[in-house]
Amino acid sequence: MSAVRTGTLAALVAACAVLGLATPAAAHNVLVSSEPEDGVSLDSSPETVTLTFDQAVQDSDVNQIAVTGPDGEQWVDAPPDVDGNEVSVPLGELGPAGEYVIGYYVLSADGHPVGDEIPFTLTAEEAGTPHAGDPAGDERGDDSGDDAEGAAEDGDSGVGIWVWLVGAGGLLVIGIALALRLGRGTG
Amino acid sequence: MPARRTAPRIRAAIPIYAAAATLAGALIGIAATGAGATNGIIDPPAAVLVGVPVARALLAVAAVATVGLSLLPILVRDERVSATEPVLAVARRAAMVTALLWATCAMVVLVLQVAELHGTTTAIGVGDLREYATQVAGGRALVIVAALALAHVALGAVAVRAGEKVPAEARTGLALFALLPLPVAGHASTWDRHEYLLMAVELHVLGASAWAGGLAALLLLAGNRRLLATAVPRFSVLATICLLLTAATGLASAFAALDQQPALGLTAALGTGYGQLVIAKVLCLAAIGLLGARLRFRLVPRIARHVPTAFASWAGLELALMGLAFGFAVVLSRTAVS
Repeated sequence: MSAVRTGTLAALVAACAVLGLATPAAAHNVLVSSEPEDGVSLDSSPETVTLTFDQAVQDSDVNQIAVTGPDGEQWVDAPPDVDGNEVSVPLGELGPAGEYVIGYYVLSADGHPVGDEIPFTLTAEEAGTPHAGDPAGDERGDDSGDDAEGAAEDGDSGVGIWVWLVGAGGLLVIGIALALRLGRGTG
Repeated sequence: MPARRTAPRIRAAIPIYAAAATLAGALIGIAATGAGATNGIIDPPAAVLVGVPVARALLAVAAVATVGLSLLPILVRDERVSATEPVLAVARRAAMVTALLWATCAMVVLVLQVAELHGTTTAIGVGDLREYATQVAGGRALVIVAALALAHVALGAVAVRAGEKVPAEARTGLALFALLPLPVAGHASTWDRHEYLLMAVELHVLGASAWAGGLAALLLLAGNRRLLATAVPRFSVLATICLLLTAATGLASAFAALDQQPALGLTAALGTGYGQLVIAKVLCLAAIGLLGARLRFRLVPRIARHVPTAFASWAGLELALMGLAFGFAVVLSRTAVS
């Protein structure tokens, strides 16, 4: 009897909670179009890269657009500019002919980051020079360099993740110790 | 007192095996889905990419244990207080600890997800956390979960003081309620017809957690044939409902997710990382169902007659398989079909 009652209770709680929490659609942004288009062949450099989404992009320092050349060199040297549904970044003259890849990572209206790659081909060589410095995230193993760069860029006064994790662990241990003492007090 | 048929040491190790199985499931899931790097974009550090699912797997273990421990008094209700009280006193204290772990894991996941978003492990400021917790749906959900888990700790503290005067239904209800915010912020919210799918995913999480948690909590009774004879047949009814609920809602949401990529076709979609995880979960469910059927039809009648059985071993095996399925689920909830 009691198990049936529990089941009924669980179902009721679930129903109330789902009805209460089910908010209107909060979907991730979806890329609608891009300039240059996916897979297009160009005989001259585009002046800007513009990505158009189905809904507004959050203006956040997390947003990134990169253009990677045929030899892995980076061609974007500016933070992306958000205007409603559009995110754009200026682009100078490109270099050797070949396949370029637009990589992006932007914060959706609902807060989830979305990212993908859009390749395009440059058919005629140009005279531009790549952005000096390391490609932002070319090497996964090169975390320390990226971090230092990222921290310096936004002048963030944050602390290492380990500080947060150790702090959480410490609080947990204190909490458990208190909980067990409380139990012993009456038991 | 009935003789103890299962060595206590083995019983105590079972939750650890189940937690290990959950972590294993999460790690296998990461390997299967392996998020690739985007060209030219700062990638989240590998430690964070692995850390988020691991922390979420621990969060799931803590949540499931809290639900189960809160449910236990209902399963042994109407038994003599002198028989149940030694077990329930342990369960109340354990529930406080698991709820604390639950809240902590939620905050750790929050920090790790901020690190994932910013692609750094060295510069996480209070402002970053506040921004994430207020602007990002996933961040809000984690803060709500942590707050609800802490409320459960407080309720648990009252229960430790006042005993079973604090209704177990309230504790169970609060624990189940605290399961709900995370799926709301998951990938399910991006699908068509998402209102119904969200409901299916929520029921899936509730059913699976009550099922696994209840089974885990029964291990506390494993040395006591009299209490087992009361609790196991009751749990068996609950488990049957949960099995049907979990299977139906799981299949429905999996097919809906795979159907979101009509260009792929069902066979190709099953070949993606998402599809492979779905297959792995279906296999887990089948194995858990077989074990559950054995418990239900072979062991339950004997337990009800107070005949000694290897209940703890069978339940432990089933729990480990459930842990594996939870681990897969943690990764699946963060994966899109592609």
